Amino acid sequence: MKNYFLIIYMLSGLTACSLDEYNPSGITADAIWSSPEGFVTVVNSAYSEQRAWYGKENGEWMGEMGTDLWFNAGRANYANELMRYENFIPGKGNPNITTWKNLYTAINICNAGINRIGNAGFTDTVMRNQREGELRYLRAFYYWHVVEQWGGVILSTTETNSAVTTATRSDVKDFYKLILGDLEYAATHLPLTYGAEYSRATQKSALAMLARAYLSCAYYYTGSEQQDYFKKAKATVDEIIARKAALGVSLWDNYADVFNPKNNKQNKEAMYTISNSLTYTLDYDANANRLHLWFLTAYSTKPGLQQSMDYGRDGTRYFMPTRALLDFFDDEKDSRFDGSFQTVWICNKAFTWTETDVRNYGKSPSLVGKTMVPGVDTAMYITKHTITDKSTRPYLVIDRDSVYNPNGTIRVGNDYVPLKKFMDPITRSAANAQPGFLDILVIRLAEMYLIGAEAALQMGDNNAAAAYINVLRTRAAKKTPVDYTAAMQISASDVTLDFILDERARELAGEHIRWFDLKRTGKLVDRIHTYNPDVTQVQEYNRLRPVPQTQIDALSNGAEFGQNPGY
Amino acid sequence: MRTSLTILLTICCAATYAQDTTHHPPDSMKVRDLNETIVIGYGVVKKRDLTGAVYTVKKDVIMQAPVANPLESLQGRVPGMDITRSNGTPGAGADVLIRGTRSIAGSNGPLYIIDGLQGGSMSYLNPADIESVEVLKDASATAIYGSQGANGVVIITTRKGKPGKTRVSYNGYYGANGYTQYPPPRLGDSYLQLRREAWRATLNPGQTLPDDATIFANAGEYDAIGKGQWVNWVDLLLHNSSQQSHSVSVSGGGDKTKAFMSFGYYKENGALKYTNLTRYSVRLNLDQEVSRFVKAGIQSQINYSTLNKRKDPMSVALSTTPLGIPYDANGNVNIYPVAGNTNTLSPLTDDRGPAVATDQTIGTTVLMNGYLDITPVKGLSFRSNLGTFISFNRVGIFQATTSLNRANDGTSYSEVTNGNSRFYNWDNVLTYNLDKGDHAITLTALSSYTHKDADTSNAYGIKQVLGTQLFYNLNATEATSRTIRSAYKGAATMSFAGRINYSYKGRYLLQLTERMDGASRLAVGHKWAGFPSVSVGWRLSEEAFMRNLRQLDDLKLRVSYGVAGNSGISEYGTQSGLSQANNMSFGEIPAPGYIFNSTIGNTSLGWELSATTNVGVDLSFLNSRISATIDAYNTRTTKLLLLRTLPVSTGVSSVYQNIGATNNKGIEIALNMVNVVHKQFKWTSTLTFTTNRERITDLVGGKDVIDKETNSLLQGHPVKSFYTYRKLGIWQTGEADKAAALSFGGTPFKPGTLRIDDLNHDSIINDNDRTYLGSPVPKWSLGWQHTFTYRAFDLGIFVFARWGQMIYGEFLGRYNPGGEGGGPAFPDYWTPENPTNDYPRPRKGSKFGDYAGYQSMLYIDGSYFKIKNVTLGYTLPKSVSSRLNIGSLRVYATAANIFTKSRNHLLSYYDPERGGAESAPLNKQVVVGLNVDF
Repeated sequence: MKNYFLIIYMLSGLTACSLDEYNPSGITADAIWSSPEGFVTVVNSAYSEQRAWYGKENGEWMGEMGTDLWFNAGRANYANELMRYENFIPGKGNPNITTWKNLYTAINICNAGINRIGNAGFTDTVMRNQREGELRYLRAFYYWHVVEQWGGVILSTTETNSAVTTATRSDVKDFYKLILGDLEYAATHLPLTYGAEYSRATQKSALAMLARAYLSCAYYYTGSEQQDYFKKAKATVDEIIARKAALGVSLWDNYADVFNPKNNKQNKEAMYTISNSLTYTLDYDANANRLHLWFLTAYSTKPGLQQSMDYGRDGTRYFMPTRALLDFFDDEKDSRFDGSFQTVWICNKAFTWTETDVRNYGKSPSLVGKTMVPGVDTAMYITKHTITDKSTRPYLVIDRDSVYNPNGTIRVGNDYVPLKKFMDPITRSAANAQPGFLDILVIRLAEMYLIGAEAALQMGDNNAAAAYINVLRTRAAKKTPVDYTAAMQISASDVTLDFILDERARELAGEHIRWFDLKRTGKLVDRIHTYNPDVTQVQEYNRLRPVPQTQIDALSNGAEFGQNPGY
Repeated sequence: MRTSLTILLTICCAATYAQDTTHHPPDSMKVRDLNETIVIGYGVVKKRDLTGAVYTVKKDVIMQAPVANPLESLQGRVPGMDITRSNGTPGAGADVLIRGTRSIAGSNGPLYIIDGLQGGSMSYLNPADIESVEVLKDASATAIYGSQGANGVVIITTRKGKPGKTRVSYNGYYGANGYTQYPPPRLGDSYLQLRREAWRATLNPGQTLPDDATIFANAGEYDAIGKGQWVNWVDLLLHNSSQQSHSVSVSGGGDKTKAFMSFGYYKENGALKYTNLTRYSVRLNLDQEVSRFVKAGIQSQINYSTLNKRKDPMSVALSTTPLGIPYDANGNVNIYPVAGNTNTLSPLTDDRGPAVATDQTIGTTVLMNGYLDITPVKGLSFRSNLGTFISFNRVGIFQATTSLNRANDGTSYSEVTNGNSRFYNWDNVLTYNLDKGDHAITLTALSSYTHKDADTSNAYGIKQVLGTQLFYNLNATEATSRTIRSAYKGAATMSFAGRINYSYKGRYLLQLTERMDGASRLAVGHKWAGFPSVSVGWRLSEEAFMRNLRQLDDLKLRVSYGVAGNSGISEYGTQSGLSQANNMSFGEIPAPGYIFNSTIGNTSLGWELSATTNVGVDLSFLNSRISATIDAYNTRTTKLLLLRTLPVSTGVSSVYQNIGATNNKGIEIALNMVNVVHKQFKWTSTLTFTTNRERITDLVGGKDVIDKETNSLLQGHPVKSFYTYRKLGIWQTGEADKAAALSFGGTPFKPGTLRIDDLNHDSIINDNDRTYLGSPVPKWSLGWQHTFTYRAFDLGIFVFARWGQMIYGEFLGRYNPGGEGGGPAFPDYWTPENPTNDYPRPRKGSKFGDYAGYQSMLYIDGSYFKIKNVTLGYTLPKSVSSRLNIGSLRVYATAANIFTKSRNHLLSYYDPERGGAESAPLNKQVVVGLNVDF
């Protein structure tokens, strides 16, 4: 019988085996976010999603495409939903879908941090309030993008910790109440500087965002309430300008300096920055900064040219300026044209004109045998002006009439004047490498003057508006060989909403903002019709993006929640 | 937990608990006799006494045609078992489903039991070492495995030593791989014409088409066209290559000790250069009689394998410009094939060898089972089984600056991952047999514990100085780029079960089973569940009234009902956690962060339950020349574990919930026939037929879960369904008005665009016009083996059909409407002069995904029928072989995958068994082999 006991013992012995889960590599929010040292990890991660937008396709597509400034390079049909408002349906159109996801992922983290900070065991109140200030700055930053892109959608202030499957819409004004409250808190509690951690949100970031938010908020109101918000926007701008030195921000003397790669890090004009590092493990992703790719024209196959670090990787081209954008600039007087666009390429590969080349490029046969010397001779010239002796110049000339038809539409679209603001000849690993590691200037001081001007204009104070703008125009004026400072000044009577939008184009083209500007001012359809003959389909309802179908499909009250009108 | 011992007592008519030792000669093609034993869970029964749906495949069928993975040898041989080869890379596995998909979130793969224990992988086995495979399909057969058996059980029994003469055998083959079917690329005039059409379609009114120099203005392109430098990248990438397998086994033993040993070697070269798999395996099975009451033994196997993979270049090969000079004068790969273009890397770049792209996995697995068998008194036996399965994997990756993977980054990348996993399974089984007159009872009681855990460590860095160091010196990577990670994962299960088998006069059969299962993965308070089953059998042929039917040898009716469970969520699926955020820094200061896991926890998760009713008939007649097994079943799965997609606005992605139900109904038929038997000639055939109707019967709140085209869950349709727009054709020139009446995202349709079905007739094509298109689940499948023997020759033909399924044809979306870069040649696109209904009009700068309703074109009928293999063998006549002192000798040649016929014309260049993916296409094989026994 001993055997039976043995057997029963063996069988029952097994019941002692535990079925509790053992998860040593896992980590929970309650464990890590309950001390000040651990809490910083929620603050850090709250920053991360914006790095999938700024400097990436997502942000540049949603912030600049489908405006009066840009054509699809090559008259192509790429990203037509955003570029030309064609076939834009809720189920389609990245980055509309990914951006929605990124923003709400970030908001959930901000909410978690804001609601948990009381349990994080901070004893240093200043530090505690700084952390909360960062989180609230970020939540406002994300919600501003949400409300401006999609309107009054979902406004949540709590962390998701159960299976929530319903959603309700909140009024745009409620969004702004939260946004402004958060930013006011942040502006009060954020420090002036974080030292080496310069890309954290500081007081100047909060004030800049606050100015933006007051301005865009005002347009949702009328009458005295609206005036109130314009007043606040202007007051915030004035505060920033008055406290420039304390906030640690100032304008560069020359416009071109803003985008000089050498001035890129800790750029003194930046009010909020996304920093990238040449150290691989410090970057959000391997792509880091991709802005340098999309605005280029195809140069590397042209006579006397090859791909180089200086001229950039021209294999991925999307944005071609509209003729209107080029014409907003008086390039004789305004240095911002040369500071923004490239027109001359110096030969970087020895070249001799042959009969075939002369024929292919429509050149005068007299050029056969002429050579180009690398580093010395001009190889290509693309201009917004009309050139009459194109064929006899010993280099390639692409002028206004070879780029645009008389009515401003695109002729071919292979060659055009490219925006050069974002070019990155210093951080990339090779001429054909895609990742760049320059910082991204999310908000810079110049925009504050434009916000001030717009607010002043809307308050009926054209003099003040002109004064703000003249600060930028004074800087922009060419000083040599002729000083155009005086000629560049404008007067109160010049200021209109359209003038401000033109000025914004001259100052900020390409900087993730144009769509927001046109949407805010209600000029989206109007200005596209006037200046962008390639976009024929835009309608008023396009001032809101469609709520991604995945969102509506996943809601148990999707029908009740509904789609934005028109989609 | 309840009392530890839910021991039920038992009797059995059949054999004691022991391994099947019946000997099947390799050439056995006869219909099986009823006294052969069938391995069921924790025991064996005679076939005549079986009450569940169990299907047996013997060694001879497995060895019929050479395969690398023994699972493939079951394709089309087991009714109700759906097997497709995963892909065409060396060492690729097979996808297996028994009786359809029940679970949405959980695993649907069957449980594999090798020599009584779980944890091993059938693909590691050497096919020649397998004695038999039993597939347990209904709930009564699988009930003894409880939750683990919910998706069916595959029991593999390996060969054992036999007393007597020592037998040595060699099984080997060598063959060629390749002749891959793949859509050829668009080249030459066809390429030029497409781009011109794309430009023409976007001309402004009155504009004329620019000259070719303008149209083909991409870097270096116009020159290359002028020089006629067309390249077929697909052809240059895919090579015909070889595979070989050799195994030697020795078996024998004395009265008390029996042993079986085998040594295997397998090598397969892939269609892509530098991709291959080499595998060595050693097996030792030992059985020792310790005393009259005690037996002990081990089954063990060690595998060592090296797998070299590559980033699949097929998508690049199809989409890159088909121009340039692929090789330089010395025959080396030109990494930038188009002169003047340094942006577009050659698809052949990784053909330059390991110093450019290496992805090498070295794996060692050790399988060790030990058992102790005690029979203290007659009829009672106790067996304790401890099985362990330990595996070690090292994955080394190196990608040079100019490798396909790193083309965009412009830096090299080196990575090493080490993984260790441990699994053990301890089973204790008590069996009691009582045979008294007309009554026979077997009682079985058991406990089973499994524990599995794994840890991994991983390190990587970029900018390694020397490519030739591969991943062997991460210290040479840029110091600041190095990243180190490690992780742990573990789960355990505990079970108790009892079974009663009762037989009256061998005519009336009854089986009752109850199993209690606990799983660590489930939430506290929901970890345990009980799974009962009952089955009855009635051997009608034993009844007096049937005895008169001379032609009938056997007729048995079986009915069973049982419940099985599934805890198939991933480890820690009930816990809410954080994971590391993307890298963050402010300036040059690192800033680590944590974000919420995309799946949040649910602390009330419990078991998913499947209740199956099975009715089966076994019959054989005409002196067993014809035998058939027919089963019909109905499986209802409730409390479905569902990884539910949460609204994006929650900031997280999904949560596991117990909601919803599925239903699977099906009929399975296996028909064995000896068609002709003459002295010199014999013709036998085996037909298996499976039809299964799978559908979701309930979901949260009765509402379909709409997700991406391939992920939606639709009530009334299979779990994997395709849900999107339906294509009716292309709008033709004469239909301009009708087309313009419809719009998509505000844009009206026009001739040359896709004509989408406006399901709700609102003239707007939008997400409300999406519908169920089809499913990758076949309506039916069929396997038909014919074997002819004539004197010493044998000829086997195996035909396989899978019908009524839809596939997602990735390559169908490779239509390149902008004409920039490459694409397959087959898409017949619309132009005003070519009113086709296949593909829409080209458009400059567009991608296929830019077309309104393009998704409607990706899902097509994937029905096919194929001649899976043809084998011709020659067996040396006994008279000759005995003179040569050889037991038996057979040489054969097999051609596999040789002919496939698809129903849809778009699949003419593609093997649909691959399921629609464009990477790693399936190959054809021709091999010659030799089997010798000494």
